[in-house]
Amino acid sequence: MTFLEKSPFPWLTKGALAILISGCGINDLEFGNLDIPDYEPTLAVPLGVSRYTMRELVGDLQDNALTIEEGEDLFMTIVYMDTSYNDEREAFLYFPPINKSDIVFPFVSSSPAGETEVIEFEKVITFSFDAFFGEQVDSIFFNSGNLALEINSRFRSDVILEFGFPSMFETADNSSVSISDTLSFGTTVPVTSIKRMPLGGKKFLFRRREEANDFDVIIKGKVVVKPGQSVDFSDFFRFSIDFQEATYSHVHGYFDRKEGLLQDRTIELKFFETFGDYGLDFKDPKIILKVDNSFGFPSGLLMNNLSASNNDSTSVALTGTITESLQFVNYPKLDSIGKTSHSEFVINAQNSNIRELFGITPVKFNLPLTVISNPDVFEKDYLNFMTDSSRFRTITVVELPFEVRMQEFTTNLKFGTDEIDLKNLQEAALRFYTENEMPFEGRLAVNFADENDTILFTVPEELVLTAPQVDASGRTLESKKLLSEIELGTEGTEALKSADHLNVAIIINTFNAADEEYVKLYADYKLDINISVLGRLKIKTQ
Amino acid sequence: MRRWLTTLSIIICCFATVKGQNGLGLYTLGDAVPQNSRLNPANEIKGKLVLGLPVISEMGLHVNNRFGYNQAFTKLENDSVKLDVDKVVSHLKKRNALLFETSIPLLYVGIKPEKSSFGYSFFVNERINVRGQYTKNLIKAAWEGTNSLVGQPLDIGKSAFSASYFREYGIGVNTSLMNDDLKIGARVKLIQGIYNVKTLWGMDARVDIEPETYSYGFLFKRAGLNAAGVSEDPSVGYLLSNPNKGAAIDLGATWTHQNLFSLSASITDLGYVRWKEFSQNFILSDTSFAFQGVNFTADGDIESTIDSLKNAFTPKETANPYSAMLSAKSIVSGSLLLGPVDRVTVTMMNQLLVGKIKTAFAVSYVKQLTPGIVASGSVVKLPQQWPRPGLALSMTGGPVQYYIASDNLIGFANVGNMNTLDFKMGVNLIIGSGKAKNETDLPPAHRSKPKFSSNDEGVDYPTDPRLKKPTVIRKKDIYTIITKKKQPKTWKNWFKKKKEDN
Repeated sequence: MTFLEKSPFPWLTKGALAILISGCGINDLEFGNLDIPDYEPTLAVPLGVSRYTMRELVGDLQDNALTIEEGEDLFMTIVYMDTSYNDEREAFLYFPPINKSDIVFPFVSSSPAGETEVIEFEKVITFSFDAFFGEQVDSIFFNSGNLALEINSRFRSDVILEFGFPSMFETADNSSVSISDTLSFGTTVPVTSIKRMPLGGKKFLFRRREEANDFDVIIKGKVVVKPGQSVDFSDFFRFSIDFQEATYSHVHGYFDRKEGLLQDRTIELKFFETFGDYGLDFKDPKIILKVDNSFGFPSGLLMNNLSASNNDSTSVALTGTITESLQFVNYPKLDSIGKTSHSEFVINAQNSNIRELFGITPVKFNLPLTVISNPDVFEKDYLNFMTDSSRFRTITVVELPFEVRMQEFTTNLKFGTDEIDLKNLQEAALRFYTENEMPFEGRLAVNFADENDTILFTVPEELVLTAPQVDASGRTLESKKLLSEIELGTEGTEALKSADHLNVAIIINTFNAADEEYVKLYADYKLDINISVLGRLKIKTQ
Repeated sequence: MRRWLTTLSIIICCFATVKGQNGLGLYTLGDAVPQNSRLNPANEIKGKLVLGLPVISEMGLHVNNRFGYNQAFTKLENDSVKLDVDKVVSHLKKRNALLFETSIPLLYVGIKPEKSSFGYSFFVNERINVRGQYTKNLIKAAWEGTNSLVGQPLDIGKSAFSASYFREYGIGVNTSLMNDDLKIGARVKLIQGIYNVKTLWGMDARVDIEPETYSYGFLFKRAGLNAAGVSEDPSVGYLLSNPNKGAAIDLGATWTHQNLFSLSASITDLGYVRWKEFSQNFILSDTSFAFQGVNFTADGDIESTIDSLKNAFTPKETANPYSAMLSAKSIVSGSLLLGPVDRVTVTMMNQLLVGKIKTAFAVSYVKQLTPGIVASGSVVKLPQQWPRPGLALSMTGGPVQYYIASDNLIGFANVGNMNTLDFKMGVNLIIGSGKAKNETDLPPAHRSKPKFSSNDEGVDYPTDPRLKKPTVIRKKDIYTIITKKKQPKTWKNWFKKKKEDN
C-alpha cells in the first residue's frame, strides 16, 4: 500500500503539465504553400447493354415485308414475301379494232315506170383482218360496246337493207344476229343512215386462216323503185362496220408463241443491310414462286435472268438446272374459263446456286421472270383463251431457314466521337461481358481514324463472344459467359482523343464453321452484351 | 470533392492543434469542478455561490478523428506541404467517426443555500456539436473513383453527418437523500437552435457495382439532408432568438455504499430541436434502380440516359420543419473508495452515432493532493482510438478555482500525429465553500471525524447520526466500559487490520 500513501501524483502532474506547456509542436503544422494534388480518379462506367433473344434480334430488322416464322421447336425461318400481277393481256393477244367498210353494187336497173317496182338483191361480203403475230382468233365473247353500221346509199330510190352476220350469235341462245335499215330517198343522194347494235351478250366467230381472221356479212337488199324513179347499174351503196368500244369477256383462238415478262421485279432485302457484308451462308435458302394463272394457254417460265447484288455492287446470277429449262405453268382448260390454276416453282440449293446468291448478303434480288405462251411443243390448232380478267399473279417467297454457317462473317460499324468529351481521359479499357446462348463466337476489331479515315491506332482483336456447344439436335447446351477487356493504353487513349471516328468490325464464326457445319438458330436463344469502360481521368487542380 | 476533402482535413487538423474537451478525465474529479454537472447533474454545488465567468469558465473542445495532420499532409523539400489523400485513405478503417464538440459558456451561477440540501444552478451556453461517421469505401470512391467500389458495395447508409450550433438556457437542481448516500439532480434546458445540417436518420442508401458489367445498383430509402439557418445570412435578431426551439433534460444520480464504493449514472442532452426557421429539406425519392448505361435494345441514347440518371439524383426540395435530436450521452461510473482522499473510478460513456452506440472508457485514479488541489490520472479509451493517458487537475485558492484536463496527454508530445484531443480548462469563482468544500468532495466516511457529545453516563455519543451509538458493557469507577469502537469501513482500514492479524 506504499504507493497509496506515497502517491506518484505530484511528479506525474508536474510531468504532464510540463508536456502541456512545452511547445506541443504546433508550429510544425503548416498549411501555407499547400500543394493540392491533381484529381485522378478511375471510373468504372457502364456504357450500355443490349439484351436480345434471337426473336427480338431478327424482329428488329425493320423490314415490313419480312415475317419470322417459328416452328414448334422455335426454329426460325425468315420469310420474305412479294406479290406481283401481270394482266397485260395484249402481250399475248393483240386484238385490233375492227373497222371495215365496203361498196356494194347490186348491179340492178330499172327505168321509170308507172308502177312501183321492187328489185331484190343479195351479196356476201367477207371481211378479213390480219392475224398479228400468228394469232388466230376463233371467237370473241363481247361484254360491251356497239356494232355501228353506217350506210351511205346512192340509190335514187328507197332501199331496204338487212345485214346478216353469220358469225355473230346471241350467246344466250345461239340465235343469229342481223341489222335492218331502210334508206328512204328524198330529193338528193347520198342517203345516209347509221344503226347501232349493242355487242354485249353476243359472240363473234371468226374463220381462222393461216395469216388472217375472216368473217362474213350477208346483205339482203330491196330497192323500191317508185313511179318516176329509176335505178341504174352503177348505183351503189357504201357501208362500214365499226366495233365501237368493244370489250370482251373472253376470246378463244390460238395466241401463238410469245414471250412476255411475268414480272420484272426487284425486291429489296433490307435486313441484310443489318446483317453485314460477307461470310453468311444459309444452308437451305429457297425462293418459291407461286404462280396463279387464269390465262387459258400453256406457258413456261424462264428463270435465267435472276440475280442478287449487295451494297458493294457485287452481283451473282442464278444458275443451275432450274434456269436451263422452261418451267411449265399450269393453266385453266376450256371447261374452266375464269378459273385459276396454281403452280409452284422452288429455287433451292439442289437445283441452283442460290446459296452463292445469299452468300453475298444481297440487299437486292432481281427477279425478272419471262413467260412464254404456247411453247413450241404445242400445236397451232390448240385452242387458247383469255378473259377480260386473265392475269398472272406471282407470289415470290424468299425462305431463309436460320440454319447458317458464318465464317469470318463481318459487320462493319462506324461511330463518331464528336459528342464525347475525352480531354481528361488518361487511360481507358473497354470491357465486354457477354452471355451467349447463340452458337457463334465473335471477335471485335476496332481502330481509331481521323477525318480522312487514316488509321491512327489499331486495337488488337479481342474475342468477345464464345460459342456454346451444340447437341445432336442442333441446340446449344448452355450459355457461355465471357469477360473480355480491351486495353487502350496511353498510346491508344491519346489516339482515341484525337480520332474523328471509330471503325468497329464484328467478326462472327459459327460453331465449327470451318468444318462446314451449319447451326440452327432458335427464337429463344439469348444474347446479352454489356459494354463498359474503365477510365482513368486527370483533372488539374492548380 | 477534392476541395471538400482538403477543407475537412484542414479543419480537423486545425482543431487538433487547439485546446480540447468532453472530458472523461475531468468527469472523475466529480463535483470538485462545477462544469461536471453537465455530465452528471447530481454533482453537488460546492459553495454558497459559484460563478462561472463568461467564456473563461470553460475553454476547450473535443475532437476525435481517425487521422491527424501527419496522416493528411506530407512535407515537401521546398517547404510546401502536400495534401496526401492516399495516405489519409490508408489510415482509415472500415468505419470512421468524426466528433467535434465545443461549448462557450455565457453564464453559470450555482447556489447552495445554507442549511439546505438543495443546490440550484442557472446557465447559458453556446454549443457546437459535429458528429459524423464515414466509411473508408466512401472516401476511396470519392478520391480514387468508382473503380474502388467494384465488387465492394458502398453502404452510404453507414455514413451520416450532423452539425448543430445551438444555445441552451437551463436551470438545474440537485439534492442528497439517504444521509447523503444518494445524490440526485436534474437540469432542464430550453434550446435555441441556430444552425443545423444533418443527414436523415435511418437513411438507407447503397451503391453496388457489378464486377463484370460495371453496372450500378442504387438503393435510396430515406436518403436526404435537412438544413436550417445555413442558406441565409443570419441577422442579429435571428442569432438571439428565432422559432427554432427545443427542449432537453439532463438527469443524474450518485449512490455511495458503506464508504466502500459509489455508483453514478447520468443521461444528458435528452431532447430535440424543432427546426422551423430557414429550414430546407433535400430528399431523394425512395427508389431502387440499376444503371446499365444506354439501353441499346430499346434504342436508347446517351443524352436521355444521363437525363434519367440526373432525375433520379435530383432531390425534392421543401421547406418543411423538421426535428433533430440532440446528441444524448449516458455515463455510468463506479468508484472504489480507497481512503479519504483516494479513489479509483471506472467510467463508461455511451453516445449514439448513426444508430450505433459509441462507447468510451476511462479508468482513473483520483487523489486530493492538498485541501485545495484535486488531481486525477486516467487511461482513456475513446471510440476508434487506442487507450491514452489523461490528466485532470483542479486547484482552488480562496474563491478562485482553476482547472485543466486532457484525455490525450501524450498527443501533445507530437501534435502532428494527434488525431484526438480532449482538452478543457477554466476559471470559476466559488464563494462560501470553506473547508467544507474539500470535505464534501469526498464520500461521507472520509470526511473529518464527527464530533461527539457526552451523555449522562459520560459516554461520548456521536453527533453524526451516521455513526452507531456505543453499547455500554459495564461501569467501573469513573469509567464506563463500552464495546470497542469500530474503525470506519474503508479499504485502507481493511488492509491495516489484515496486517495486524498477520
